[in-house]
This record gives sequence, C-alpha cells and structure tokens, in this order.
Amino acid sequence: MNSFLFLAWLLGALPALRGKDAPPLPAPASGRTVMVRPWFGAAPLQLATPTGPTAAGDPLMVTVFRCYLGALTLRFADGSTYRDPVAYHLVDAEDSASWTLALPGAPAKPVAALEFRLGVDSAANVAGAQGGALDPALGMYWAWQSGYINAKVEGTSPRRPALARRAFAFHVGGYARPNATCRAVTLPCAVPVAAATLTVLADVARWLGAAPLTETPDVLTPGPAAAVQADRAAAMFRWAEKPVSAAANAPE
Amino acid sequence: MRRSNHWAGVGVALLTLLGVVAFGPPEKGTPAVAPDAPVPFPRPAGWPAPRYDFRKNPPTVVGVALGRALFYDPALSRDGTISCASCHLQATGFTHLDHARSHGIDGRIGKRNALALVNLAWSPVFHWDGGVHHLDVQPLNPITNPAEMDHSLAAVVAGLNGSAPYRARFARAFRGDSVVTGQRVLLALAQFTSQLVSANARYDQYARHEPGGEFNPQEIKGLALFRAYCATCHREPLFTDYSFRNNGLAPDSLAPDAGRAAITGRADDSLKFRVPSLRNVARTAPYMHDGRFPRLRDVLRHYTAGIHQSRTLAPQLQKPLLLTPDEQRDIIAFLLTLTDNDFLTNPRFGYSSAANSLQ
Repeated sequence: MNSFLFLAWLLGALPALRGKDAPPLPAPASGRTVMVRPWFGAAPLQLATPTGPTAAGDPLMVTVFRCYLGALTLRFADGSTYRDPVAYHLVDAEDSASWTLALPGAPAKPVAALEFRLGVDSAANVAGAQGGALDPALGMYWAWQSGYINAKVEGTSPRRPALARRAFAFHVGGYARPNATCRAVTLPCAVPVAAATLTVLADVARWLGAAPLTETPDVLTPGPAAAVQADRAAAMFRWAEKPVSAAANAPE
Repeated sequence: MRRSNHWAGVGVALLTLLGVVAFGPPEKGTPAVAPDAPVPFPRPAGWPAPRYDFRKNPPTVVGVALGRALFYDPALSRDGTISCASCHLQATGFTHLDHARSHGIDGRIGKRNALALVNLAWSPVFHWDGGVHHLDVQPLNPITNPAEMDHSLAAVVAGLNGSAPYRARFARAFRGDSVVTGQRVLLALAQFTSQLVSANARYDQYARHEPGGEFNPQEIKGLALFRAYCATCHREPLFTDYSFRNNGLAPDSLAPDAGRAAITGRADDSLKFRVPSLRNVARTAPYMHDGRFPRLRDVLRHYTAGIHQSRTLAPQLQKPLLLTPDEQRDIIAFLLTLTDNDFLTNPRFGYSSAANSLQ
C-alpha cells in the first residue's frame, strides 16, 4: 500500500474508530447565563460620554457605575428554582467581563422570573475581611464607617454647581436598620424564557432620572438619603426588549 | 521574673517560633517548627472571651510575622514614608507620645489623637467614633486617610504583588497561594494586631495575688477610689466598657467634632466618644480624642473641676466628682500600676530589621 492509499484508508476508518472507542459526545450542556448590561435609556451606557437628558431633564455624563448583585435565583415556569452558588457578583461598567454571570449548573427550563439582591446583606457586612468579589481592595468598601457600598454611580452634569466641579456621586450603602440599603429585585418574564442567556439591563437612566440632579445632594454615607437612592437603584433593572450584543459597549 | 509560668512558657515558645521565621533556619539541635504552626491565644485568667473570631483567621507563626512586617512597613503609604508604627509606637503603648494629633504623609495633621493599640481582640468597635466594627477592616482607615497614608488598598496590593519576597511570605501564610489580595493583607495585619495583649501589669499581678503584685497603701486607696468613681466606664479588666460617652469636654470651636453622632446621625450621640482603655495609660499621653490634656493630673482635674455641661453629658458626670487633691494623686498612683512592661518591651511586637528585611 502506498502512503496515499494508507491515508485514504485511515481517513475512511476514523469515524468508525471514534464510534467504537471514544466516549459518547456529552448531551447539550445545560447551564444559563445572566447578562447584566450597563444601559442608559435606549442604548448601552457609554462611560465618560455626554448623554441624556434623563426623564428629569438632566444632561449628564456617567464616569463610574458599579453594583453588587447577590443571591441570583432563577424561578422556573414549573415552580422550581435554581440558586446561584456564587454569593456575590460585582458588575462594573468598566469591565465587560463582569457583566456575564455564568450559572453553569442551572437547568435549561423555561424561566418565569429572575430574582436577586442589589447589594450585600448585613451578615457579609460585619464578617471582617472578605475575598473574591467582596475584597475590600475593589473600592466598594468604606473605610471610615465599615460596610460595603452596594452600588455607586458618579459623573458630571451642567446642572451641578461649578464649585463642585459639576460632579455628582451616589454611593449607596449602609446595612443597619432603619436605613439598610440592600434591595430585593424580582424581574418577572412576560412569557417564560427558554433561551440560555437572559439579558438584564441595568438602566442608569432610570436611577438618575428618578429626580432632578438639582434636587439631589450627593450621597456618600449611610442614612435616609441612601435608602431613597437604594430604592431608585433597585428600580433600574429591566429585561432587554430585544436581543443585545454581548460585546462591550462600543459606540454605535 | 514576675510573669506567671504559664505566660512565660507561651512567650518563650513564641519567641522561639518567631526567631525561626525571622532569622532563617534553626541552629543544629533546635527543634524545627512548622511555619504554619498555630499561634495560641491564651485568655488571661478572669477575662471575657475575645471578640475576634480566630477560627475565621487562625494566626500562624508566618501569618503573624507577615502582619508584623506589614505593620512596620512604610510601603503601605503613598510615598513610602509612613507605617502603622509611625503613630503607634510600642514603647508608648502603641500610640503617639507627645502628639495631640499625629502627623501623617507630607506632615499633614490628623483629626484625632492616635488611639493606643491594646487588647484589640476584645474590642467590638474601633476608632474614637466607633465607625469601624471589625479588627480586619480597621487598617483601611489609616491606609486611605489623606492625612495618614493617603493610599488605597488596591495600590498596596499591587505593590506587594510586585515584590517577590512578599509574595513568598504570603504563599507561606496562605496555604501556598502567593497572590496578594486585599483580604490577605487585612487578615495578616489582624493576625499581628490581635496578638497585642497587655495583661501583665502590676495591677494584673495584684489581681492574681502573685508575688511582685503587691500594692502600697496609696495604690490600694487609689484602686478603691477608681472603682467608686471611674470603673463604671473604665471597667476592669479591660478598663473600658466600649461605650460612647460625652465626658464633659468643652467643644473646640476651632475644630468642631460631633464624635459618635457623625457615624450614627443621631443627635443623642453628639459629642460622644469611645471610652478608651486605660491600660498603659501612664505611657500614652496626651489624653482625650483631641489630645488636649498632656498629663494625667490634667485629666483628674477635668473630672473634678472642668466638666462642661451639655445635653448629652454622661449621667455619671452630671454632678462633679468631689475628689480632693490627695485622692486625685491616689488614683494616679493606681493608674501607674496599669503599665505593663512586658507588653511595652516584648520583642514579639517590636520592629525587627531581620523580620522586615525582604532580601
């Protein structure tokens, strides 16, 4: 047999060999992905890019947007649930990898609702130095008054005073009652979703558009004002109405 | 030697362990000690259980040594000039002698008097206003405060990750993983700071009825007066009840400080500050949150004749303490018995150029 014929024989025999000796191909992998896209109104959020105006009439520019999501739970149409074993995810508008929350163990059943917490619960707040997404080096932990910042948004707006360099900053945190700022969020699906990827928009325009910036002093401490901001931040999440590209928020 | 045999045994064992880490392999004939050997935390007789949960961050020989190296390393500050020890010196009870308020980076002056670091494992709250609730996260304050180290934990972590010797030490302290994280920096520091136990002052020996712990008649009288007039807040054996009180200091109009109220937002907490421990108090001058009193006799005079009346004044101070000058001297004589020379000179807690050398 010359080498060409041998090669032809080998190629012809390969499928048979594989069928005989190789393990069967795995069943289609279950598992789901929750994609949290930083958003602003009708388009992806562009950091450091003038945008708006918000529903409250404020033109502005967002420079920082980060939030903690925890206790991610899929509620299925059949009534069962799947709870994400990862306690906390830090979603950062600056880091597109942080928008993808993988749930490799989640079954491929139609999802009726997504539930999660916006923020860090009080137990994790008082547990000392934590690691992973809760590492205090990530800049989401207060020094002078111990506790996590559950969500933060910073930026500038011409509606802010020049003396304050037109800046605004809302750092929402505080775990102690009555001004605890961790919020439960439930997003029901209009019709059960069978897709592997569930895309949620974190629509900063909803948060910042809840009230005029001229009437909203900066929030950088726990307290009643932080609790109000927590309610607004929790209301920013919504389902994407149409499929959204998984790419970073490149200008469109 | 005045210390109890138990403590002496522990101390010698620890010195041996630290010596192994700090000065290289043991000499021939010295028993080798595993670097991940746990460091025991004996509870002094009659003391409450420590508040710090050692199960979550069990101190090891290498972990404590790493925490000590970080404590004495000015690399924690933005320009490499300020270490924890800049304002917390062992010889003065881990506070800053003669400084009403300490100077940090670029000579900037801090807002309040540096607190003594002592018996931190028992403390449920930290700082004068109690804004920090856990020993692990306390260092975030000095690291980030613009008047102290003016840095960030992320920058500290990046710097340490760039140091091969530090990475090696983190690997030894954290189960073979050499990646430095914010969590591990804080845990290592807490492994060291939790060891700062002062429990062998002459007062402690007196309380344990040990030889060398005898009090003279003035000290006995002073202790009785202390228990009658001071111990409600400065509760034995830790000499604090960790409460927040307005102790009648006239507000400083040039540097208004609401104290605890700045944290809680409650008007009822206005002008309240944490009751500090009095251990080693003769060495930790000046006194009060703003360091306004340079001497102990100024403090006693304040409580007898200087109370400033205000709405949140501690009920115990509503009526002035009627202490004669002799009684004030007796109380001070007693306070001197709270000086713990073992603590102030223990080489386990001090700077060691060998331990801090990263070569």
